[in-house]
Amino acid sequence: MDMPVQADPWDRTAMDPRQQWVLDRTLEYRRKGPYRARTSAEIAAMLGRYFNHLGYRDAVISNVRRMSGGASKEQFIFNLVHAEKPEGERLVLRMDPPEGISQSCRGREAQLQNAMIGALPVAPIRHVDTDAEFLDQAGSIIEFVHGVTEPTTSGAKGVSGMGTRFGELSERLAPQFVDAFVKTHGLDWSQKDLSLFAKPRAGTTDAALWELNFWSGLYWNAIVEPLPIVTMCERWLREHVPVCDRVGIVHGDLRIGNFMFEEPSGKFTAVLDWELGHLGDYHEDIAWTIQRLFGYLDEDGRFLVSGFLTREDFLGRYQRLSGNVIDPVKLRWYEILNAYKCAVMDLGQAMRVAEGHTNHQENVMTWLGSAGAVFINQICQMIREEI
Amino acid sequence: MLPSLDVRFRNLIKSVQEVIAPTIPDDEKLAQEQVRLVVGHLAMMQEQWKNAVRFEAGSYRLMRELAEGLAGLVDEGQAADLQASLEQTRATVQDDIDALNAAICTIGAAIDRVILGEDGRKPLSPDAYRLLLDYGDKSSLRDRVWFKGNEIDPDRDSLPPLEEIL
Repeated sequence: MDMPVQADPWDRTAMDPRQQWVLDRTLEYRRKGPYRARTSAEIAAMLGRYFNHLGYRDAVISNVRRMSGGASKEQFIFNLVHAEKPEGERLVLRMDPPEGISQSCRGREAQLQNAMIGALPVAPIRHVDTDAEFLDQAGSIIEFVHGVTEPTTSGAKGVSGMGTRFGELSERLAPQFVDAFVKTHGLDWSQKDLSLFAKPRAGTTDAALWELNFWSGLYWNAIVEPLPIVTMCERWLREHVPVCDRVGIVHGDLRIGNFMFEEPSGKFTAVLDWELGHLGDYHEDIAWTIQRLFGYLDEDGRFLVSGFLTREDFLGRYQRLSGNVIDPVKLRWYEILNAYKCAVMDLGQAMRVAEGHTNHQENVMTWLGSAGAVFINQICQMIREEI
Repeated sequence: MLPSLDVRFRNLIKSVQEVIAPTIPDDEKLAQEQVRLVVGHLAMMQEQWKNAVRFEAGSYRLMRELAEGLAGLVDEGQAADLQASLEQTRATVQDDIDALNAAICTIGAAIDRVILGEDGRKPLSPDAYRLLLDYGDKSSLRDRVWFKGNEIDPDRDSLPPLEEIL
């Protein structure tokens, strides 16, 4: 049997073409200069024009409210009344600012969410304006889903759900948390409309290299101050890029804060934030969620993944339920890649955005930037164990 | 200097917390989050401002030491690149935070070129990796202490006091 040809690990052009489009569009937006956050009235007017274009008769937008959270998107909740639905409905506008802590494509996000319908609870996507033809920025209209991302009694005030404690809800949330990974990675995507995704070849380094190239591209386009450890990490990753045996859907940010649930039942109502999703290696998702930042130590000093399960318990349950085997060498490569991605976001892209004022909440950018050294430290610890 | 920076920072925080925050409606979640971030940033800046130049000077020294060390572990052309950046920044004024930052960028860019080694065509030895990791341990510890006030670092309780890393 012929062995597949492996890409040169230094070939920076090896990338999903749509991801290259995202990088190019980022530079295009950056050149336009500072961004001013839109008022509710401006958003209402823009949405009114959009729904009229979509053919909604007598569309009236009201009660527009900004939503909190998220370091990369502007989100608004609003009421829509139109001739076919005079009683009205609550919808969400999820719109790109010119730049955020990460960059992504609304069309890809919508395709992935639609692909997951039936497998996992996801917020139904009503409309997508991938190329900002009608909205001021690329965006999507999503049906409102009831639920919370943290217990209303937790008192957590951290960014993106970090630091949340689930208390008694943990027992009910933990199995659904593991199930979200199992269902995502187990989905047969071959018949789904994923036309905005290129398919990495199984048995090759495509999946790992494409991801690395996207993030290093984002970094080198954004760099404000040289960071030797980030550069060293990129080199180490290129020198050890792994083969992906089975290509599947990767969520990209499956962790605490990115799932909604009802209170008091704890039943999941939506798995959120598919913007970093792609076709790749399941180790990437597993390595992402076991990061220190997305969990905490319990009273016995044990680290709990997303506040739910010990690392061993989480990995054991996942392997048992999914049938996927965790390869410790690949898991470590993706742990280092993920720390690299976080460093690129916090110390590269976020700093560029803060300097260029191309976002609606630069205070979040610099707040996250102040956490970047945590990932530099983790990169050093992990690579030291490997050399 | 009247009024002092400390007094002004304290008054800014008080104003945001006691005057602005209570006027934000309960359903304006983003505005509430922004207020918390503004207060958090002001509190960190209040702790940092007196040492900001010293801290940047320390970052410059570490970067310089890394370049000097790497110069002995790479080939002649790469060493010359590093030496040129060191020479160019030798006269950096130690109490000018912008000059220090510019020098860090100059040396750092030369170090990045050495690490990449013409996209892998030139090797990076295990000794060079170890030197970089030593630098990374020191610099990340300093930065984590510097920004300890953000309360994101999961190991913040084990970090040394600021005075030890300046």
